[in-house]
Amino acid sequence: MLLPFDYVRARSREEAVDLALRAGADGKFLAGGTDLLVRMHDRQLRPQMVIDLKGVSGLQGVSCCDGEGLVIGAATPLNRLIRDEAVRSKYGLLAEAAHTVGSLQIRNRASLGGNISNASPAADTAPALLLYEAEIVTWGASGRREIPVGEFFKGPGATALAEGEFVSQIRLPVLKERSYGVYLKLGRTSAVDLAIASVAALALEGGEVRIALGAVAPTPIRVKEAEAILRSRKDEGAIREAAAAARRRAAPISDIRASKEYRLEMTEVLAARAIEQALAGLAAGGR
Amino acid sequence: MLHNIRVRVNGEWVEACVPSHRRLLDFLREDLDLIGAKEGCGGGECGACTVLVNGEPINSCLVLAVEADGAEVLTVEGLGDAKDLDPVQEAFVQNSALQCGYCIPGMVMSAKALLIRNPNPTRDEVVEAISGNLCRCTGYARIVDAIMQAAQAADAAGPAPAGRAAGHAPAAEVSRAGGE
Repeated sequence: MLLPFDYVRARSREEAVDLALRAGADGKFLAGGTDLLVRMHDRQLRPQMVIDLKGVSGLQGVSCCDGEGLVIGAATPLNRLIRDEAVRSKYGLLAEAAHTVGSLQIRNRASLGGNISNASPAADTAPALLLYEAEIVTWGASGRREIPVGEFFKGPGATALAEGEFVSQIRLPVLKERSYGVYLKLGRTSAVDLAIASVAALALEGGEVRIALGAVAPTPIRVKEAEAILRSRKDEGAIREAAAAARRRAAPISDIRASKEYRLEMTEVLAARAIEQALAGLAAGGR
Repeated sequence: MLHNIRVRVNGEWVEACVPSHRRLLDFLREDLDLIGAKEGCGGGECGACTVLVNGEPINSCLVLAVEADGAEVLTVEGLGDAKDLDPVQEAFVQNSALQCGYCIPGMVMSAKALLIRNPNPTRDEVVEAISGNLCRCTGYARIVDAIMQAAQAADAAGPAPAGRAAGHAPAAEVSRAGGE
């Protein structure tokens, strides 16, 4: 059972912002509901007003514009992303990461915009978005903004979103080179659980290797120190050094899932594996 | 706040007036007496409340009834009854794929959704399809056996209609007042 609240299905971006500003701290945006309704069920959140964004135009689906990358509606369910041919063929790392979220049932509801708006340090899609250098398109009282994903996350549960502002789209810049991405998620179980630690690696044809970490810092983070090591060398020693650099950047906490020490160890192990697999995938043809 | 909704449940259009905070699970169980879907965890982890919305499995504890307005909902009651079981249900019986039974309506609906999407799944695909459904009697092996058998049975019988509810004759409109 949920406590009573008012539900409104917003018909436009402007109406959604207006409703949210009027509700203030008592208002919550709803997309898939797989985080919001859980927290309301557990009485961690008690909003008086729930504003459904699913009917707002531009928030559903994946559109591919030639030469301009990909635009993903923030309320698009993860399964739709995972099954989308443009996402699979060019941004496979995002499809792979989205596939590790929750269960099939959850992925039929959970949205990409919701996954990042909750700003969990363990958000599975965040490392992939960091590596594709996504732009987060938002709507709020001052209209439209574009926020680089690297500036979007501010801390556990905290984002750059202002009051009444919501994520409307996620833009992935065009990736001209072939690439191969790998997302390694360590959980207590192989499905449904949140990450203890996660590492994404994206190897690009031009020689660049990008690395991001999840669940081991207050926000998902990209590790440029590790990337720099791999710019000129990709031998076993360089991979070990890069993995150690990833570990040094990690600042995990101990919680119900794992200790800080275990997370640090696993960050290094997963980083080395992810880099190796990304390089091997690229060598085998990439995407 | 109350909402008038119209939902096609197991082939029949249902009109109801529901409060904002009514979950789809409560709407099905309390207002429509469709008690196959169960509440286990209430948080989207156990899958006991799994039903199909527009052909896709979802946790009905994490969907508001008002969000289902205009949607097609299929619950285990829409598959078959004791006299005329769905091939998935039949396969669960033949394989003794249940112990306490609490998770089974959800398991059956996840299996049904898989077979609609993918009539010839591999064993790994079956395992993935039910990975959002917990069974605490440790009956997974037989459940997977049952789903594999249901797929083979359907394969042998030729193309089957996707969900028997879809083939229902136009049913009487049912109107109920929900809410509290």
